[in-house]
Amino acid sequence: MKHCLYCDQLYIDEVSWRFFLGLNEETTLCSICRGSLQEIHGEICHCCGRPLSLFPEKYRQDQLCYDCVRWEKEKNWQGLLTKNRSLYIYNDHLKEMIARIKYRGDAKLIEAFQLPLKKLFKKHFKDYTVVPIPLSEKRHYERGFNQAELLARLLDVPVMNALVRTIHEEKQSKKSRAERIAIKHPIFRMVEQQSVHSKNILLIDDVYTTGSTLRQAALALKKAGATTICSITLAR
Amino acid sequence: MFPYLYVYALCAIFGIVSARFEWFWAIFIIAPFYFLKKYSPQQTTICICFFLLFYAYFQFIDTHNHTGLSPSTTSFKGTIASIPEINGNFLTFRFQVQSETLQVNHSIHSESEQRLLKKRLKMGMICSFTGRLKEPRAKENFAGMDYRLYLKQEHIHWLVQTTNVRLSNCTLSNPDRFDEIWKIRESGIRYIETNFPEEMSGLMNALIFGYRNGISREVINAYQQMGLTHILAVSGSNVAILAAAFFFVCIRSGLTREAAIHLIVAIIPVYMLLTGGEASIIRAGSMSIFVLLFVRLRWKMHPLEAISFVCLLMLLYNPYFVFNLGFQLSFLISMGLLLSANSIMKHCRYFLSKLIATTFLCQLISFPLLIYSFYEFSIWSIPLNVLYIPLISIVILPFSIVTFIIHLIIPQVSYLLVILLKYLIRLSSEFLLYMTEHTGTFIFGKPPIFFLLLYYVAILYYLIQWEANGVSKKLVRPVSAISLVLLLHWFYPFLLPFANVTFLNVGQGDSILIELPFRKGVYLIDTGGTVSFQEEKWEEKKSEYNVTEQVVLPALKSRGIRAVDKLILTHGDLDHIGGANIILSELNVKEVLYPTGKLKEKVEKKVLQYAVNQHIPIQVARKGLSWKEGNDQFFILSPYGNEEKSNDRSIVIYARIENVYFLFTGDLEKSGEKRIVQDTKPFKVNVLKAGHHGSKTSSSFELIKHIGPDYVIISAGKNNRYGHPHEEVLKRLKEQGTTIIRTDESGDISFKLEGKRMKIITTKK
Repeated sequence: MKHCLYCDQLYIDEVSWRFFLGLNEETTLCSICRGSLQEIHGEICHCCGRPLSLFPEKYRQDQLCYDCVRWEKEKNWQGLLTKNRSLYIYNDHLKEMIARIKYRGDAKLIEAFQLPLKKLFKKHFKDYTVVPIPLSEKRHYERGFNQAELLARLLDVPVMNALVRTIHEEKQSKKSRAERIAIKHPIFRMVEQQSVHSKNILLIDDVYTTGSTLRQAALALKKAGATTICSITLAR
Repeated sequence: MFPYLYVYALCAIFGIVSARFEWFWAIFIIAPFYFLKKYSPQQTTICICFFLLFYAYFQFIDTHNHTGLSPSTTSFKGTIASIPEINGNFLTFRFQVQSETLQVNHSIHSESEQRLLKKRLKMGMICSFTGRLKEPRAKENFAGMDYRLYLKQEHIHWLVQTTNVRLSNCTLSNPDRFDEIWKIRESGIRYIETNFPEEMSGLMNALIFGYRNGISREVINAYQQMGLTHILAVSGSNVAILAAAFFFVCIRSGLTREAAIHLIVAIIPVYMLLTGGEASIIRAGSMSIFVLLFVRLRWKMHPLEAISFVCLLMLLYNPYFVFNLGFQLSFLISMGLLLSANSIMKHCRYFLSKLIATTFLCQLISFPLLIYSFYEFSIWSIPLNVLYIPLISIVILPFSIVTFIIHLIIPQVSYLLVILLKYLIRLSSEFLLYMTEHTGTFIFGKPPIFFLLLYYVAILYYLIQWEANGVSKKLVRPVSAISLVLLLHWFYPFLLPFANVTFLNVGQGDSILIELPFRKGVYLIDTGGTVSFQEEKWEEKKSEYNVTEQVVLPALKSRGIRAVDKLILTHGDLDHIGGANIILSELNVKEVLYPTGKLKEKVEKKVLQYAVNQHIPIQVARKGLSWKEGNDQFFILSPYGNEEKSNDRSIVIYARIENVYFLFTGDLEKSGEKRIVQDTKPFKVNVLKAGHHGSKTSSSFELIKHIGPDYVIISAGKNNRYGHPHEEVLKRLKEQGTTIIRTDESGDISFKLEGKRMKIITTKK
């Protein structure tokens, strides 16, 4: 019997033959909280990993969503981010959870995502070097931790803090797509001692909304000589 | 609280099993810890502690479980500790003397005595009588049960053969609380027995009081063969249904829910005693108490905690429970249901599909255990379970209780109910009997222990795939795995490269089973037979002991023998062919061999007529007949056809099986032996079955000299009235330097033959 990391209710792991044999996965959320998370499965956009089933046919081209098509048409952004995979759909419940982690400092809650995250990592990006998206120094100071780094740590592989955020700007969540797409100045630069030359890089972030942050980061990494750049995010 | 209590309970079980058998089993408990990283060092330590603790505990209990009585004790004073059982002229009960419990057997001398005992002798009476102590018999057949061990597990070490039991020496004891419930139970049982027709009272007593002795052997067998025995055991479903009904009544009559729960918790222990306190009801009752208490206190409980805790408590109370089939099945099935409940809810939408899935699941997980104890399986088991579980537990059980109570209060009113219930019960048993009569079973045979492991690995694989995906394509592999194990089990005897010649211990009589390598041939020489004596009506038992049914048939079934290639009936005596009809009807017999000559006895006519009716070819055997199967050869040396006496007509077989020479002589007497000696050159025999159970009229010096046997087998009953085997014969054989092995001393005697190697295995020693 355990307490749910999110709602703090006592709950019991579902009793089953798998449980009996010790083959079940360790859970940290009660079945209700787990049930409110919508896992992404089925047909997805090959590039950004969003589920296509929810997506009208006319906004698709083959296996790509319209957003990705548009990104790939832009000269500056072409081919920067090879593929992104996300765990869950960014629904209200997940928004609440992420808000609790980020804005109310419940860093422990992030452990609820460890197992699925590890699974996704093993499935798609086994030999990649893991690089979390950094916060600006100011934001990091305010929050006390970087949620992307915490996510990266959950994977139990060496984490390379290769990037620094150069300018502290408005929160991404308060900007429009057009604002996000335009590159005025590069947002990220490399940390000098770290070399990503001819490495495959896996970026880690909490949410993929338009994909601009990830692409900004990819830009910096590409310039430093990284081969392929992919990403994992919690929500899409 | 205790997230892994079930693991500790498993450790305890393995500890006890290891203590009884071999430390080898410890591997199965230790191995998982290496593969699963789930358990922390602390948990692993606790597991090993549980294992060692129960290992030591069982050893302690087992070594201290011995008698304190001197074997020469002849007078006994104590309390009757079980319901006295009167079966014909036979009275049995358990008797508590100061230090231990005894099993008392008493022969009733007259009808008036029987009537009196039936009426007056009650559980809880204080009695004194004289008698002789006798050691219970140990295992006497490979497929038989070990009565001595069984009683030892009940802490009983002696049988008492009484010289007299007088009612005048028995007095009613002072009532005490605990005994009161037992007495109520006894009077309830007697009330049903005397006030309801016999055909319904048996089942009523089984369902209401957990007392099954009143059901006829036939019906019990039918229930067993169809895999329905569990319905006759009072268990979880009874507790649940009665508690639910009681709860409803309480609520309706104005009690609060809390008060109703308190009341039920208080009543369940009484119910457990009233229903006889078998392992299944103790499990079900205690689990219900736990669950209800937790509900009442609003504590959360892990579903596996109650069952594990009850299991540990029961094992502490009596570690021998581990070896009790009722305990094993009860825990296995309720554990299985607990683990599958969520998945059944998920995968099955309708009531009927849930019922079928549940039944199938119970059958699946209990199959290996059942096949290990009963050797056969009926394919009708599943549909019949789907039909009988609701019929018995939802219809007949509540109906019986209501009828019983109304009959207690106002007998006149219950008249109609009794008739209705009678027809219902009759229908249920008649239909079952019809089904057993007209459908066959798959005789798998007793699997070697490692098959149990294979079965459970395949079954767990199936369950894991099923619960993840429901009925889908993913089940193909687990289903093939289970089928593979089934096929392997089914054809296992056909893979064994050795021959077996087994002299079955059928008491005073003969029955010899020959199995050739790779199952190329199965021959049964004689079937044993039970001699019944003229008895008066009151002396007749409900079901008479039949040696063919109790010894020969289980021996064949446990070896997975579905067909007998040749049933060789040596001659027409009852102790040789008395049980032939049972073999002919139960198994697929391809051919019957019968000696040439005139049919005189009633038995032989009956048997042969039955074989003809069954369209089984009968071959008349005489000197000169022979056959060959691979390297194994069989020659008939006798009869010639002109014999007068029955024994002289015996079929005599000289056989070479895997380089070992056998001579099976039936009941051949001196004159017949002499003729064989005259008509043949001296020939080598390794194993001789002594003629006529070692009578002095057989096994003549001439024959022994002629064949020079290394081993002589004597198939005779313990303390038989003919004095077989005769001293003279034993002396004669010993002088010739042969080794004598007797079924009355050694039980079943088996020669395992492979190439030039020969191994003798006996049940005793």
